[in-house]
Amino acid sequence: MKKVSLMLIAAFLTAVTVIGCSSNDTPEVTVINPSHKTSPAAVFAFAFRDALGDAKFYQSEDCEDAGRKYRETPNAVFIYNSSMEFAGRNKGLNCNLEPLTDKKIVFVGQHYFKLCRRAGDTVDLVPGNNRRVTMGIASMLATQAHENTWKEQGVNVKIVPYSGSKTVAKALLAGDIDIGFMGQGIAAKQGDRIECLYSTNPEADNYLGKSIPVAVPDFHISFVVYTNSKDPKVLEKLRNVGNSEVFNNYLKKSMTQGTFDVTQDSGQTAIEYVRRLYKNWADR
Amino acid sequence: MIDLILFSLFGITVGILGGLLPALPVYIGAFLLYTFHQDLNVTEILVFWLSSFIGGQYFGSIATITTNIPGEESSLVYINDLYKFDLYEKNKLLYDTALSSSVATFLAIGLMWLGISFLRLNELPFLYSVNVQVAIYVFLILSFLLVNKEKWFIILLTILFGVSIAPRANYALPNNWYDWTWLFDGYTFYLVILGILIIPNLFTYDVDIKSNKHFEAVRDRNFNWWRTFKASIIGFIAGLIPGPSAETGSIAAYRFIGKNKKEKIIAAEAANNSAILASVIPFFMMTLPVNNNTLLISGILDMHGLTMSDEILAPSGYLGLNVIDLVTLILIFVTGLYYLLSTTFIDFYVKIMKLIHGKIKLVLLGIVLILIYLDLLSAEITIEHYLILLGFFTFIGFVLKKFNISAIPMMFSILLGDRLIWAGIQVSKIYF
Repeated sequence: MKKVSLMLIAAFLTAVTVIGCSSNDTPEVTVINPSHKTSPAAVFAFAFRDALGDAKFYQSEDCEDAGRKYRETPNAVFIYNSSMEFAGRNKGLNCNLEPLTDKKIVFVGQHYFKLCRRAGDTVDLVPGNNRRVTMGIASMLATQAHENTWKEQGVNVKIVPYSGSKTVAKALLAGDIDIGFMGQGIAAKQGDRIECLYSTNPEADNYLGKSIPVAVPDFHISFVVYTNSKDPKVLEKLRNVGNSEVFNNYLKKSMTQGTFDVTQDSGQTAIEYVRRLYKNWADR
Repeated sequence: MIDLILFSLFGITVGILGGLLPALPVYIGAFLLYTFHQDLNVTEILVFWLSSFIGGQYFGSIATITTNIPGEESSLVYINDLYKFDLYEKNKLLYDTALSSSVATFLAIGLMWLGISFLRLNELPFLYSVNVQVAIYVFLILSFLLVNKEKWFIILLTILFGVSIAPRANYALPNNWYDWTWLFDGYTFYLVILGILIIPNLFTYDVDIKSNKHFEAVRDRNFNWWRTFKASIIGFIAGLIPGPSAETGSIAAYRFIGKNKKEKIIAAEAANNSAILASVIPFFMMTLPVNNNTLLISGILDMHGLTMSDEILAPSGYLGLNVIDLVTLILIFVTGLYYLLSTTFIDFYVKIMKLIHGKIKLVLLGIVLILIYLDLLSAEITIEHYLILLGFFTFIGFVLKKFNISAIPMMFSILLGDRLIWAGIQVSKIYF
């Protein structure tokens, strides 16, 4: 019995190891998500991983942990987003996109936000109105400096932090907060249960910057997907995500804009945007 | 569809072994899922998990009745009664408990399906409000403390410890929150369960089966359907209460239903089977885990970035059915199969138990080593760090076991601590 048990264990461990170590033509890719699992950025990372098919996924503790994993892992794909870098800087962490020299950029994109209230509610962000308005927003953006930018415009906003847009939407529907500052994909999912007063997309009719000259009215998440791989097969596999039905459906459904037609300079726009965000919303 | 049937059969196998081997906990199915969930969708996860969960309960009673070793904790309530039963009475009991378990499970499946399909909690959004969340968490913590009145202070310490290491990537917390919790960076819920529950039980487990009797389930013409129905409803209600659902249901039915020992045992078995399905309802509808099993699955879905209440009514991708409809159909099939399996081959199960129990420590040691090896394959920390953390949690597990302190409050706080902290932060911002 003892021998049989030991043989079975050995056979099982061998099988697991062989399966685990078996290789195919393209080296294994690891997708690294530095954002919270309930944020729109995490949904983007999941969609990218799903489009790759057989990639590994790493959910990091924070952006520095993600950076460490990126440096240690061959053929790593980093799903950078501007909000993550902003939050990291606020916490004294080094999560910067700069320098771009050691990164091969494969995708850049933007995801804009909406400011919404429950359907039928009359609350608004009117300057000069003394009513205290609670606004739910992802915790990384829930800074005192951000709250002050609203107050400077005469809007009495109290910012309430949440783990991400999903939880902001739930809190809005539950009546915990007056306004939800959420990704436009998640806002669209709520259907007619909410109405969105403003959009941060400069091309939208209800662009926030047209009504309230608050700092960073064009707030968005800038996505930059980059890799440390120089393997042509891996790079081709990553570029092929652009042809993936899964990924394109995600972009459409989540209302995220982006392109795989990129150069190394494409990351520069994201770097400058984060500088502006940090200048206006960071607690220093 | 074939793959789902295979997942359910795999779940049934795990459930049977989990029920027959007391050293394997009733959450063994959920626990095993941690090693291979990554490529599974929600339907596959639920089919495997619930098949094994139901099976553990079914076959736990077979182990208890045939060998007097409780296959699952909810059988403890009647274990001493069994010494008064002769072989013929036990054989009749085997059939009656199988039938009452089946009736209760079918009833609970129906109620679960009705509740999830028609009680649209999405249309009652206030249930998700931070006030309700805080009320639930306060209720949970108070119930943990009140159930363990004499050890409330230690329970509170375990809860505080769990809450302190739970938050991850929470930017609303002050920086110094993470000053010492970095020591626990990289722990997995899987590792915590291995250390706190599985390993301490392995080293303290010692039984010897000596039975040489011939068992077979014998049909009893006096089966009372009405009593079984009442016990099932009691179990179902008990299952909705956070904590050890099956045990609570079993004890309640044993106390209030039936006039003699046999009737009470049948009632207890009906109740614990309906209780386990009721216990998944708060999780399905509100993403609120109420026991070890649902806590484990909640952790797995977190890793997928999924919210149970959103997924349960989503299309399953099979036959045009929603996840809940498909899972319900498969559970009906699984329950029918369990009824057949639990009323036949009883001697075979006893032989398995005798065979495995003869070398139980070696078998369990092998299982634990395999589980550690599998966890290490996906762990994001070094082997040394992993072993240190495992050693720490094992030490905690031994201490809790030695002093008979429930590990459930700590497990709850480790898994739900992040949400609890968020609720606290939000309440403070909204009201102060």
